[in-house]
Amino acid sequence: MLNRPHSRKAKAVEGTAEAKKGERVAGPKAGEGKAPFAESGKKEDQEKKNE
Amino acid sequence: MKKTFEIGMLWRAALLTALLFILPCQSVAAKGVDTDYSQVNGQVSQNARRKYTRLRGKGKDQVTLMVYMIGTDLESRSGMGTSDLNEMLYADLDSSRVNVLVETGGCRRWHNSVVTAGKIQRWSVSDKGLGILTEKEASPMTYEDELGDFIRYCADIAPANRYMLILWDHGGGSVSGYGYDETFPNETMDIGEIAKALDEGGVKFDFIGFDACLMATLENAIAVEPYADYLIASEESEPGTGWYYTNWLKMLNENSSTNTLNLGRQICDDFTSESAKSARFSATTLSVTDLAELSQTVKRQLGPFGKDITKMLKGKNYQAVADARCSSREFSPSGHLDQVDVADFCERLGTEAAKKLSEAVQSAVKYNRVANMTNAYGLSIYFPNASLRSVNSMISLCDEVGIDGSWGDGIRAYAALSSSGQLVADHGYSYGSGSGSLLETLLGGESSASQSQSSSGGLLEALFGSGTSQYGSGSSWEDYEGYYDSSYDSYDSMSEQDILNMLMDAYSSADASQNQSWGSGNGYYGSSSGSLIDALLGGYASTDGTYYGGNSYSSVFGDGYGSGSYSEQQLSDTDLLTLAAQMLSGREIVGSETLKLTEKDGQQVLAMDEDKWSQVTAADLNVFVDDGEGYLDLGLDNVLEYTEDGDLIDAWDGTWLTLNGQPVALYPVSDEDVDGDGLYITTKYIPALLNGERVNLIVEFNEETGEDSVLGAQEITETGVLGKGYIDMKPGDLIQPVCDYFTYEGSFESTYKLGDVLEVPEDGGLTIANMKITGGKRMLYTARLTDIYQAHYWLPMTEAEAS
Repeated sequence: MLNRPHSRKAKAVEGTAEAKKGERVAGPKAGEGKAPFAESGKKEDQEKKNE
Repeated sequence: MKKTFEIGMLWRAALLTALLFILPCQSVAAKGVDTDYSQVNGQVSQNARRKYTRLRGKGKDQVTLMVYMIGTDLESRSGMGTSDLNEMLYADLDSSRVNVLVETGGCRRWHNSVVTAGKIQRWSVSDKGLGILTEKEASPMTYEDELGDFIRYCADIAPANRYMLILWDHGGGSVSGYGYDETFPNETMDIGEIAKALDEGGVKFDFIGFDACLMATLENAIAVEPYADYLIASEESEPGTGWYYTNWLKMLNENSSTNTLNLGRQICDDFTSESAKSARFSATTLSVTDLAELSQTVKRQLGPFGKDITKMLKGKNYQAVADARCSSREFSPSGHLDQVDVADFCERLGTEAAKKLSEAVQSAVKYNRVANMTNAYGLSIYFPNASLRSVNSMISLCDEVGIDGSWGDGIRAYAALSSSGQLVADHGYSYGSGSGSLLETLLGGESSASQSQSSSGGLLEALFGSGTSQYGSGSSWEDYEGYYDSSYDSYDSMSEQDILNMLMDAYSSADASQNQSWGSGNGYYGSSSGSLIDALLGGYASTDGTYYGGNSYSSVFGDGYGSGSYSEQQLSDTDLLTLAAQMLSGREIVGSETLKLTEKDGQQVLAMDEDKWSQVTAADLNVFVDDGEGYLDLGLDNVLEYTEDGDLIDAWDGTWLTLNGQPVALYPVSDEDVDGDGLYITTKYIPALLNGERVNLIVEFNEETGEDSVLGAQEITETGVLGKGYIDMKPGDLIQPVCDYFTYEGSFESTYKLGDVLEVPEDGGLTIANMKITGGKRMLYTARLTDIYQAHYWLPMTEAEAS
């Protein structure tokens, strides 16, 4: 058996939930706060950049 | 006098043999060991020093119990102090044999009509009730002078042959110390200050107890040992209800000569059973440690253990140490205190010195009660993981309390290698054609290369920042591309000397930057380098220039900041960096070459060789919502799947976690297979406002029971001292999820409310489920890998199909 990090099985239900930004909240960062923001796009765009 | 306790050593040794040793982080975890002992270990090592307190016996002992109660929000919000005072009163104490003296303060409001807020008051507790002794205007109760003065006062007015002390409040372990005074916030009493207070008090205690979180640490035990025979404290956070006082005080009242271990057992048993009633999901721990034994056994083993670790690191066996550290029982992981169970860590490392230390600790801990947790043997210790933030302060503390310097050397070496691994991993991965890094933000997508780079928390800046005149606001990547030999198109091309040069530059850039930024008076934002150092120190800047958290650069460079020189004891020491370069050179790290997706069977997958997979400790789906002005960060969830060949599938089904239908951001806390059966208990936190106050909701996904639940809310304080246990939410409480928001340039802007507020329903139940997420202009997802150096690697970001 190959060792891989554990993945949990998410339980999904019907319906949608809207992710919308509200008011600003003072204080420290909520999360881990690293933003990777690679370029969006498909694999082909990535390969073009690599050339 | 008849012995009333039994020998438990053989039973404990049998448990030890059932442990598994040194398992890689990503494999099935070691079989969790139930360390809830039902028998007191009455044996004492022949090396133990003589006890300070000698009992007279036959009920003839004169007892003075001192309780130092900093009420803080435990009292002002929840009346926990009043509750415990009542428990003491219910014991109907006869002060002819047992004097209980309490100091109260540090609180804006008391839930009783007797104690006054805004004052420091001293009381006697007896069958006659609470009697005022002295009163004065409030001053910080977290100052050691105040505690020392209280101890002296108690010994003066109630001399005894048997003294006990309980420190009551929040606790933050060896890193954050004890106490949070809400009337004088932003101060705690660190371990060194606790010891000073005890010294000023001039009393030798039968036991010192901490009715507080996280204070059963080896550093604390060693610090208080000169002043006490036993330590009673908790490795983990305590629930807000804390200790239960009535039974053990009654026991002491009936027989003031009650053996200390029996008393300790009663305290631990009652704490465990009462906690189970009020906070049934919380993990609880409470242990009784024989300090007379610990000082002669455990303390002596720390130096050799530290030497073993340094030897393993110099032998390029970083992975074994990292694996042991990653898989050890950690306490309050969301608090990032880097506090791990000593015996568990030692057993996983498995060296001779480690085993000796483990045996010594388990012998010194005479009684240990644990609930809802495994591998907690009674004492924890600081050992860094991803962050440098506390390394130097903890090494200084070890020095202050007299721990062999070899232990500090081991901590420093590990921290230096871990952080160097992150620096190298980031450099090698992001340079050139690397994808999924911050670099790519600057070159592609909507944030094009023509946009100026803001000098914000970019990891690249740590490596390519100051020192070059081209760098500064408004410069673009191309301006300093030539800083390093551009023939390096991957980490693989770098020689050991190249790596060393890169590390030296990264640390020296941070040092130079620090010189600049101190003058600005505005923290480190805008510093053109040292950003990874910032991150490693636990600090960061937001786009408005506010700097949050973290320690100063002196934790890396020592107190000589500004001089640009390295003290030989610092993390940036040349020998340590040389060792790091040796260790990292030629090593196939996860990011040795660009992580590329390939297509297999119609899926985008990441395929890597097994050597690289063995270094991956976590893989998380990271989702962002582009709202047209920036990115909402929905956080990280370990829901990624693998093919039968073990390739990571880069895909997202468009759903994310919701709480009562509201989307939430979430982040990992822990992921354990406690009994080795392949079923995990995964804990995560959801940042939110609870009735307007910032908390982290702790959620558990339990594969053993099949249940997903919100365990409670954890308070967040300024000082890092953690709130006792979890706050239970009540019907009508208002929960507002929050999330981080980033600019298109990748800078953290602020935290914002996410979605709508939700009210805890009448039945108190909160529904946790994934739902399809809508909103924003588009959604982006990526996979984030974490390696044994705690470096992160992102796969290329993908735009989700519009629903």
